[in-house]
Amino acid sequence: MIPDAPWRVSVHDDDVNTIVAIWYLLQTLCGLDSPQAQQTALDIHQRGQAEVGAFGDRATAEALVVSLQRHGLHATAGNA
Amino acid sequence: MDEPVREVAFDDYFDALPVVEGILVRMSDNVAATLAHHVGELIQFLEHDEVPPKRTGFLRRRLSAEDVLRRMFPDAYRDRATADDFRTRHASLLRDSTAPRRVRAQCLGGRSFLLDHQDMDDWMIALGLVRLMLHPRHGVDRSMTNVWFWHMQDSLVLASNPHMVDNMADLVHSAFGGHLHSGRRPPKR
Repeated sequence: MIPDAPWRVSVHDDDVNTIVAIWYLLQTLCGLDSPQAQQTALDIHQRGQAEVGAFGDRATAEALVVSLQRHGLHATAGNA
Repeated sequence: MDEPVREVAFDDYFDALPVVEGILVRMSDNVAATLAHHVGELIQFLEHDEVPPKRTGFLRRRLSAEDVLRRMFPDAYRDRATADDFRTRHASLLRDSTAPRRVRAQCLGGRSFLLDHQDMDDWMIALGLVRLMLHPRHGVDRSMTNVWFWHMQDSLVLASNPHMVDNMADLVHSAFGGHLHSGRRPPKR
């Protein structure tokens, strides 16, 4: 993840995915380590959404959104 | 599809155990057949836009393929036109049925098998999407089938990452004092 990158990817809370599954998918798809993924999964649950990636180009951000959506997560992209 | 509607029963089981070679999955014949049936419906939807028949709530309107598609793959952008463009540009990847096809083949092939890393990803995709084909994304659904999907997915995750089990108590306490489901919050006192 690039801190100041303009293309941001977020995951939103829903009533379908368990927090355990989100925790796991953030590790395998977003490359977060286990504590980061656990905290981000909690943020998604408690705040309704959390940023899971920031990228310098749109294509990379969209590739992650596609991957997250293919696994059932509610992922979105945005240009900061 | 001509197959009868399948439902899991109380004496069914699904286990996922970490072993040296990967994850050992064991399930009852009925669970394997039920999962194969629903994943078959998912394949039909992804490949042919066929929406499975609704089993309850006969007064509710039947969802269109477009409704299910938007539920399964929600708007990736705030702007509706940009979101529709995203869905169109990535349709082939989003609707790729390769993973569900492999999962269905495993379910039809027996009630005990070994999953490697690629298999695990296939199962996460199939279980993630099949629930969204059958149930809304928001609103707690306590149908037996949906609860089983949660059980299967969480069992696989914890078997593939046993270290996560050690952190479960802290996670559950931090999140909601008992419920593992992300959408359930404890009742207000």
